[in-house]
Amino acid sequence: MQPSYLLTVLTFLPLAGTAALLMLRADDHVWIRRTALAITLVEFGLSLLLIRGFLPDSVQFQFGEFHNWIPSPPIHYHLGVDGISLFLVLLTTFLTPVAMLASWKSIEQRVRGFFVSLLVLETGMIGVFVSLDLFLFFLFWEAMLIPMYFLIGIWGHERRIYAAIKFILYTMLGSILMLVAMIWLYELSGSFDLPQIQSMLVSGQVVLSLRTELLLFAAFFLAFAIKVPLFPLHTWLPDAHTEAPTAGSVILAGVLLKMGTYGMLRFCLPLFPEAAHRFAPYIAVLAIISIIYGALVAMVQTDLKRLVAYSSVSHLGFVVLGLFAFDPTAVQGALYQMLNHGVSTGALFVLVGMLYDRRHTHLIRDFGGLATPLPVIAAFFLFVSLASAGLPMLNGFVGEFLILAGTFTRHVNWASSAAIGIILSAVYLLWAYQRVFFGDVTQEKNRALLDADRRERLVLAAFAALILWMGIGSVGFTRRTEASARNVFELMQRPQAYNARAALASARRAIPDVR
Amino acid sequence: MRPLVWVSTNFLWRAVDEESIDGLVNGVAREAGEFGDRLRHLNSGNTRTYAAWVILGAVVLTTLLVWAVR
Repeated sequence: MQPSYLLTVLTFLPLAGTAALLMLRADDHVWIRRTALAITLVEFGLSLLLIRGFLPDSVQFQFGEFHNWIPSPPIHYHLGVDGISLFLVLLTTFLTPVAMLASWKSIEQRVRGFFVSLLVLETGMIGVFVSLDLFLFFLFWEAMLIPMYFLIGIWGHERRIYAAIKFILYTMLGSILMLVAMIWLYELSGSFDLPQIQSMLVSGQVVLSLRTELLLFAAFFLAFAIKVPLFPLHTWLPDAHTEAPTAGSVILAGVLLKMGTYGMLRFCLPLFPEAAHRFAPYIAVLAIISIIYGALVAMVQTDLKRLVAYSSVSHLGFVVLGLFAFDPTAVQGALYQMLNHGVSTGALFVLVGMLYDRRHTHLIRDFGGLATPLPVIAAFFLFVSLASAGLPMLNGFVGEFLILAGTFTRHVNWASSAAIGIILSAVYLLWAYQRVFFGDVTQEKNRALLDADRRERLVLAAFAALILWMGIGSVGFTRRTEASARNVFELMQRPQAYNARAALASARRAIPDVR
Repeated sequence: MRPLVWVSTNFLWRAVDEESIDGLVNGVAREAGEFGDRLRHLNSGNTRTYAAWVILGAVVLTTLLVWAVR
């Protein structure tokens, strides 16, 4: 492995970029925006280098960096990407400049603080995806909350303070348990280094008792389930997503929710396989409830932004279901659906934000017949809605298909219950679309609305191109994630622990009196 | 379609989401706030009350120590 500093640069470039913003005058809005955008575009360009240097067939962490940081307890600066995190990093670097462009004019107060927050947030997000040291991971995980808290609390809508505090309390409740679990894992293994702990578990050097494993799994899982969010831990989401400014909603839905499912795939499954298997039926039930419940509640929302927010609960339910089907195809689908959801829900929030910029409302009843004054926005809205509903040729289909196909081979009833969610997603999206865009213009002031300008068209075109590309060129993505998705199941092997437990279980079956 | 919309609106959204889950979460927050509000009254600013607390604390601690040593 040749030394590389790419991941360090990717992680800290946005943070370093805030220094440039702080040197500009606070009221020089034009240059603040341009500088921030330039930094994130450079960041996006650099992140494309990851694809070029990435070896698709390797299951090792690539672009690795390992430095000592704190000698005791042994905490290392350890970074790396594999097929699981590669595209999540790219999703982050794609969505950040797009979110900035989407909020270009709608943010007029404290402009510098807004863009500084977005840049700090980007550092936190990339850090979460590339950290291979538990402590470092936790550091970025927590650091990312702070700029998000400010984004919602300062630049949000009417109930922003309530939403921001709810968001941060929910997340911290989960992450504090995760921190305890990390410290416990350190007590047991003597290491915070994820690959090292992993290999100790696989080789049997460290054996977790069943009770320990169940507790550790539960602590990690709760933190991630809040983030995803899984029913019934989801009620922070509609508030946070609806009250956040457009850029905040895009990043929240696009990237932050993925940290939950990423965490499940990176920590819960490979570190605690026995517990994962035991909890899986219950988690699947919660995932299916999330899918159907989220869709039904989305369907009846009167606020368009809340509708998109609840649709996330439904879509992320699919991802969780795919992960806990323990099937490589379903895991691939879950990974793909994470990217899809980031792109299409990000695009939906951008579109809702464009309507808000024009009418200063999110209520569906304030719209109606908007296809007449806003043909370009209407066309993109339809395209994105269809992608989100899983129309073949567009990105959502690939992910949903892989998840359902993979889940079906193991659990027919899970897959068939989840399929209801696909029908419902078409219902709530198309019904909302019809009420917002079709028919006669119901309100006079909607008649004079201006259609998308050049900046907005650029943003929408970027989304649309990516949606189409991910719909027809999915192999370019899946061939890079396949090896890592399969490897998760290799990492779930536990020679002694499993065999000992299995032997005991079969002995019990053979001789009922054995205790 | 219409019954499904009714159930989703009134049961799933209003009763489950807003009243049960959010009601529980916000209820915990309110209780914590009210508990803190009651504790606040211990800080009355009255020096004699503080002195009484100090004496009470000293008695409790001494009793505990004596009990523990014995």
